[in-house]
Amino acid sequence: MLIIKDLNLNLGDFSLKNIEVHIQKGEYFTILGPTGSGKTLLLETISGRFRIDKGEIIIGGERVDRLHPAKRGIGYVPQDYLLFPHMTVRENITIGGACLKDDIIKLLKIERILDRYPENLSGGEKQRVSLARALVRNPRVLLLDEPTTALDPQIKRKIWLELKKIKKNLSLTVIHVTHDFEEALFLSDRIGVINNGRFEQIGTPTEIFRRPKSRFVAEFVEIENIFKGFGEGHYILIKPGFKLKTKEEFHDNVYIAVRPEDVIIKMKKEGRENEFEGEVVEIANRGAFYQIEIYVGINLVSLMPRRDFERMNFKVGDMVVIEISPEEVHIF
Amino acid sequence: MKKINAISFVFLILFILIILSGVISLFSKTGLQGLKETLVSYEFIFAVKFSIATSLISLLLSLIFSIPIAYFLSRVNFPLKQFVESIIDIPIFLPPLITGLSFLILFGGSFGKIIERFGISFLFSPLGVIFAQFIIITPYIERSAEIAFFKVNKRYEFMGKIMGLSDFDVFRRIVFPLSKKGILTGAIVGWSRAMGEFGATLMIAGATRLRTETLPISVYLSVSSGDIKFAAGAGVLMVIVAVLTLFIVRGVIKENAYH
Repeated sequence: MLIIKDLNLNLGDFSLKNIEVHIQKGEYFTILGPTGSGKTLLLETISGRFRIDKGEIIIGGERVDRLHPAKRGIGYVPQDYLLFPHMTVRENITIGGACLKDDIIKLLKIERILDRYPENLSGGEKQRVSLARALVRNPRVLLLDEPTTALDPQIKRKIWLELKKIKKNLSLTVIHVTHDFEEALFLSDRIGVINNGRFEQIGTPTEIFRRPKSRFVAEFVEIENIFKGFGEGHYILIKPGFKLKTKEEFHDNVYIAVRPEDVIIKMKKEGRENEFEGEVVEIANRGAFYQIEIYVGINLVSLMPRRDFERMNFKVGDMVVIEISPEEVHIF
Repeated sequence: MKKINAISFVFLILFILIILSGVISLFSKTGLQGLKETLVSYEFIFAVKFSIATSLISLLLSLIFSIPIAYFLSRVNFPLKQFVESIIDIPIFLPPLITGLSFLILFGGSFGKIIERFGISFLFSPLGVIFAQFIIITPYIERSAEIAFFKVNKRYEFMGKIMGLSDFDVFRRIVFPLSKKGILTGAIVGWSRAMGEFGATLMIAGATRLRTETLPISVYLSVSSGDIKFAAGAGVLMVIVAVLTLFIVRGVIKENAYH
């Protein structure tokens, strides 16, 4: 549906570099990255705000990178909604000659606010109106720029569910920009992690979550256990006297990453691979989970369900055993 | 802090008293009876009608020039932009008398003779009054409009384009309504300045009774001929216009809604 080939855009102080992505019809693709990584710029470039220096943007088989924004077949929902403040909701949606479509108005539940002005709408209502304005134009691709950033956490989760429903009902192709990894994980068929104007990795949520290809991606998806090491066949030497067994063989300088939930805490050794004894250094309550830091020659962070933690009942200073399955030691 | 506030308050009261003493002395000179006589005199009615007519025409001309210039300058960057903006601001920084003198020389020379062949004469004519007001108020109106356009988020324009609006419709339906408050404020201030314009008008259009006699020119002619009562009456009316203008401008500025 949307193909971006070797897109380059230089704006002087920032540039998009060698952007290459193929998005399928009906796919929910998320561009994930920190503030200032270029994700909004990429979205605005697709929608036609900037003329690209090199490359191609193809939507539905048609090259659109030289077309007027209105002729690209995109629906754009900006982060700040950009509802025209001097127009009612109805005027905002129909501006430019679009029709007020009953099915979309009902789906987004905005029938009762059509004659209100944006200043009298809540954040959630503004978001729905902005979405309606994009959807009534039958876009081939819907572009969502951080649609939930300005909303309360409870409303945010509700919006995620609604976005899924809308996407399914209208068979939409969606590109969604966010810095929220949880949001990307919940909504996406695929995620592209962007940093400094280029994609670091594109993959399914599981691939991004479990098998990051760079230190940046690993850190961004909150893998706290990242270490430099040296491959010695099936073992990675992290520091003298501390080696981790891996599934595959390596013979070079590498980075290893272990997700905190894959660091299993137990009370005694069971004779398995990668078992280490260590001291509990810190315990932090994170609601449904506890985050525990253990010193086993290196500091490792473990994430443990509340119920398991309460059952094991250990405290700072206690000695525990940790286990990391060789399959969960990720190398890049 | 209290001491500073007290000193500031004293200065505030002192300055208000200075302004009011001038206004009160105008009233005291003309008196209620004198004001009545001035208000019904033929010359005064001419000056009021002439001032209103010329100031409205010069305001309209100024808006026609200011709005496109302001939009262009608020959206486009180009080499020597600051230089161009400085040229536009010249009439703000020059005494109006000098601005008027420069055009008196221009229209009094060969250029004036050329345009006279087409029946256009600015010197010592009502057209000169309109030109003088136009040249003095346009930089103010342009600057207000430029600031108002600059404040409109450019991404609204981009959204308008995505919605399928033409460039002209983006301006007409989005940019202009969002900046009309600033433009209106500039227009009211500009009109008030046109009503009170004297120096450039005197130089270009001269001071001819019942021909180029705006309210300020009327005051000037009356003072020159020793008719202080008439001058004070016209002055009182101009004070009322100034107060009303300030009142309207404050109202426009306070009004935050776009609709």
